Amino acid sequence: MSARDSSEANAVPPAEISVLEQRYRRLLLLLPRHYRELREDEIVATFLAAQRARDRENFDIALRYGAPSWQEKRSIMVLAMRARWAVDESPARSRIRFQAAQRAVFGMLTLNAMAAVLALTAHIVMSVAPFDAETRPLLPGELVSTIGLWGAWQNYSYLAWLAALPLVLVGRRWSLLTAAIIAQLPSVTTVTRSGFGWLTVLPVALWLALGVVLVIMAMCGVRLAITRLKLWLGTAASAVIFLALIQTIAYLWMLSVAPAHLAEVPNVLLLYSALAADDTAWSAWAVVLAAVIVAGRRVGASRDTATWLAITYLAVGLLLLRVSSGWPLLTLLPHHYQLTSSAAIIIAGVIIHIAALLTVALISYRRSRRTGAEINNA
Amino acid sequence: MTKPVVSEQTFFVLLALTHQPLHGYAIVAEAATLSNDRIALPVGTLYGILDRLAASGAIEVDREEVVDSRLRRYYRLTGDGRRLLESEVARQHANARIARRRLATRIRPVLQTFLRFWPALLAKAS
Repeated sequence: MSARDSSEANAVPPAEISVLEQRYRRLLLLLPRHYRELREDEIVATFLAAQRARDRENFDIALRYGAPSWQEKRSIMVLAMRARWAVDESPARSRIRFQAAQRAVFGMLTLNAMAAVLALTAHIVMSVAPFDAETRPLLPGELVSTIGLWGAWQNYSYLAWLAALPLVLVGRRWSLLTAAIIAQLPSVTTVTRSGFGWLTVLPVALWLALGVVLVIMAMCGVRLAITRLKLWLGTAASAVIFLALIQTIAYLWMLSVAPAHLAEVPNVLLLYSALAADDTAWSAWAVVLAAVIVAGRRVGASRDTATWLAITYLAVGLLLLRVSSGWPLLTLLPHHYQLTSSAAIIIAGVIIHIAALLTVALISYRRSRRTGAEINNA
Repeated sequence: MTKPVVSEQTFFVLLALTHQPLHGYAIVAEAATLSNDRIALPVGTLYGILDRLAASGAIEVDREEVVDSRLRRYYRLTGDGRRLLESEVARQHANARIARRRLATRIRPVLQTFLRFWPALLAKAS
């Protein structure tokens, strides 16, 4: 039965509406419109029947003063998410939106994992490179003895993103959530204690939003099929392309702003790794923006649409965030480091790194487009 | 291809619909009765389950009635739904058989040891 037929069938004359029923109907506003048209009266009747069965003697009082319980509210919230995203009968527009949001989140996780790889690489290179003792980063053992376990966790928590990416691929929802919390918690506490005042509100809100998105994904049971994974490669590849481009622009901009520090290679590497680590915030922005933009636009029912939407939103989000997040860059301006003999090697390494990222991203992007087209034609 | 595993709540919804078509609250009440009040289906959860079962063809709408000016929709089990329930019953039965056998093999040595030493313990106590 179509939604229209059903809504016509639902057009029954209204009874006297009690306060309890009004509250139930208000709760059901969480459900998408197409679903309400199909089921609202039926669900309200079930709610009221359950209420009557629970306390038959005081049912009249409940009608006047009763309210939905927390369990009822929670179950309707979960149903609202399922009805929007996970039900096959939901309109194509809703499904496409959900696919776009899923892919944006996947792109975000890819960015975070990539940032973790970059930060780790920078750390390892700086540990083994012939820098002086002041420049060399502390090893994990030294870090724990110097700044304690909590400090060490703050420094290495980003590594949890490396675990999060494969966890989402295999559909381990609660493990994914744990990894996200491990990765995010130190960031949130660090930002709140950083003394930037109102500037900290936005990053904290973003990180919390990221957590909420992950919870929603977990509740909706994100589990990627192989075919869908191939399609999602496009999103991830695009994220990498745009990130590498933005990083390159930022890097060149930094050099133009501070030409006197061109040869201060350790700083360049520090800056590079810091920018990479900052990707958590960039990608969280991308997710929030994607959700807002997707919610506000009419989307066609093409399967490719979700991919392109997700790519576009990620790109726009990353660019906007890059523009809006000027303040962290100011804190990363080079200080007073000595020139080392390995400058050229490391600069070359950074450039090769970016070039390799771009190449890999382009190859996987072209491949995923081809795979997507094959799936669509099948 | 792996067989779909039915959650306990879904199992009792299917079971509630085996005898006759039921509407939303009647399914909740029947599931509670069949499970000795172990399963208390929240309404949102119930409709999530009904959506999934209807999408997979396990149940379908039997009829609609208007009661107290509100629509009441009755659901019935389809042939696919009955087969799904039967396969789930068979799966649970097989699991229970394996578990019983395994528990018996662990309990038997304990029982044998106890029976062997029981006379001695009895004598000592007296």
